[in-house]
Amino acid sequence: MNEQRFWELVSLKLSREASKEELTELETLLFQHPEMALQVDVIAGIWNEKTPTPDLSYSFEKHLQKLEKLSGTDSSNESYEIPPSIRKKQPLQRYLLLAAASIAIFFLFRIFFFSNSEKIPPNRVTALNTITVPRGSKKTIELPDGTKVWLNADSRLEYNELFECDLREVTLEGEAFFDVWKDSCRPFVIHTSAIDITVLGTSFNVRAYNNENETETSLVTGKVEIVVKNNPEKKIILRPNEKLVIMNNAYADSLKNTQKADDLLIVKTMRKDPVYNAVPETMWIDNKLAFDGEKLEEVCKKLERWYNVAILIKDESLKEEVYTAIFEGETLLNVLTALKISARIDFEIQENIINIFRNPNDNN
Amino acid sequence: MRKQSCHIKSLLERISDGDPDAYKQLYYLLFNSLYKFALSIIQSRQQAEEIVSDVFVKLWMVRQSLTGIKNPSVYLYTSVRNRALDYLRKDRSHTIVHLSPQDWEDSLIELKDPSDYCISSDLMKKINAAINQLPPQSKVIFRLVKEDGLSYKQVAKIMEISPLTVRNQLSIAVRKIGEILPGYIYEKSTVGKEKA
Repeated sequence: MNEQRFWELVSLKLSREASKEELTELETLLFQHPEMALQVDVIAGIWNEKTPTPDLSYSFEKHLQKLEKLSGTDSSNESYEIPPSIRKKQPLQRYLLLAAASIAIFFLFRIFFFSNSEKIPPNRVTALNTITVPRGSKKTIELPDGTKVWLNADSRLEYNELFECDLREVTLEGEAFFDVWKDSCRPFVIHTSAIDITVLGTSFNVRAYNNENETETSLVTGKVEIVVKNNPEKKIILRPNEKLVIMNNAYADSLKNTQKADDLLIVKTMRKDPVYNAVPETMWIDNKLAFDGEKLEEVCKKLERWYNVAILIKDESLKEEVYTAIFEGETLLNVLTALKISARIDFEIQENIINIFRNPNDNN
Repeated sequence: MRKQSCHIKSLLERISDGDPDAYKQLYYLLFNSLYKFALSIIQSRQQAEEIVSDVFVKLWMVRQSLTGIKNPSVYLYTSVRNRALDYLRKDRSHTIVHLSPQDWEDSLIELKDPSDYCISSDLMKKINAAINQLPPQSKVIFRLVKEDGLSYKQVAKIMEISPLTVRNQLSIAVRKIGEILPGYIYEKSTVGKEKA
C-alpha cells in the first residue's frame, strides 16, 4: 500500500475536502487493509474533538472598555455607539459603504430580472443563484453550507442567497448527485417539478428531467423523506440502496384513468454492478455512461445530453428495444456502433443529427 | 464546521444593523481562534490579545459595511494577520515579552484527556509530541483546518500560500500522527486471536 497516498486520503476526508473518487479510493484501501481502520477511527476521534474555549467574559469586558475609549463615548456600554465625527475619519468605511451599496444594487437588479417573486420573503434582499450545465458537459460545485453537488448535462440548480443561513433549499431541474453536509438543525430540501426531498446529511442521486416520464431518487447512504407534490399525503422514506421511481405529472395524468395511483410510484432496490462495484444510477459521476435495462427512447435522451447531439428514432417500433450497457470514455460513434452490433438498429450521422432506423438486414 | 461561516455571516448581518448582542456572540465565537492565530505570528500573549481586540474594534466601527464582505472568515483572519505583521514591522521599539518557543507552540493545539479517545496517556503524549514537532507553518495550517474548521481555500487565502501546499502540509501532519498508532492496534488484535 502507498502509505503517503493513504494518509493523504485520510487527511482529505477529515478536512471534508475529499472528492467522491477520493472517498471511494479510501474505502477500497480500507477494505483491503482492515488493520488500518482502527487507526483512522482514533485519528478521526482526535480530529473531531475541538479544544474547549476558555471563559471570555473578562476578555470581552476589557475589550468593551477599549472600544468605548476609542469610540469616545461614555454612554451605556450596551450600545457601543460611535459618534459620526469619528466615523467620518474612516475613509475605508466610506469605500466599503460604496461597495456595499453597489452590491445591494446588483442583487436588487438580479432579483428584478431572474427570481421568482414568490420565493422572496418580505423585507429581505435576496437573490437566486442559478447554476446551469449545458448539454455535453458536467459540473461539480460546493454549496455555501459545504454540501457537494455533481450536476449532470442539461441540468439547472437554483439556490437562494440566504441559503446558508436560514433554509437549505434548492430547486433542481435535471440530474444531480448530492453529498449533503450534515446539519441536524437545518434540513436540506430539494424541490423538483414532481417531488420534494427532505434530508439531513446523506448522499443520493436525483434524476428529474422535465422531458422524461419518470423522476428517480436513488439513495446511497443515509435517509431521505420524499413528498409527492400531486399527492402530499404520501410520504416515502428511502433506505440506503433503494430508489424511488415516480411518474411525472403530465405522464401520470394520462395514466390516471387506466391505472391505480400506487402504480405511479415504485420503490426498487438498486443493483450493484459487480465489475464496477457501483450502482448504474450514480455511475455518471465517474464519467461512465450506463444504461440499466433502458428503452431505446430513454437511451437516446441520455446520449443527446451526454454528447450534445440530436437523435431521431425513425421507426416507432424500435423505441421499446431494451439496452443494458456501461461505457467509459467512449466516443459517440463507438457507443452507437456497440448498440448497432447488439441489436437490430442502424444509424446515420448528419452533422449534429443522428438518425436511427431499423437495420435493413434484420428479418424480423 | 463550515456551517459556522454561515453563522458568522448572519451575525455580521445583525452587527451591521447595530445589534450589540450579535457583536458579543461573534466575539465569543471567534476570539479564541483569532487569538491563537495571532499568537502563531506574534508570539506574545498580550500583543495577540491586543491585536484581536483591535480587529473587533474596527469591525464595530465599519459595521454598516459588513454585509458587503464576501468571505467573513477570510476577512477576519486576514485582518488579524495584517495587523500582527504590521506590529512586527513597525513596533519594534515596543518591548515584547516573548514566550519561549515551546511555550507558545504548545498552546496552539491542546488535546484533551486520552481516555476520551480510548488510548493510553503514553500514546497521547506521543501524539502531542508529534504535533509539536511539525514545522511552524504546518502547525498553523493544522490548527486552522482542524480546530477552526476552515477550508483549504480559506486557509490558502489567509496564509497567502497555494491550496495545494495546504493539502500537502495537512497530509504530512495526519500521516505523522497516524504512524504513531500502528503497532499498538495490531498487537491488540493478535492477542484476541490467540485466545480464540
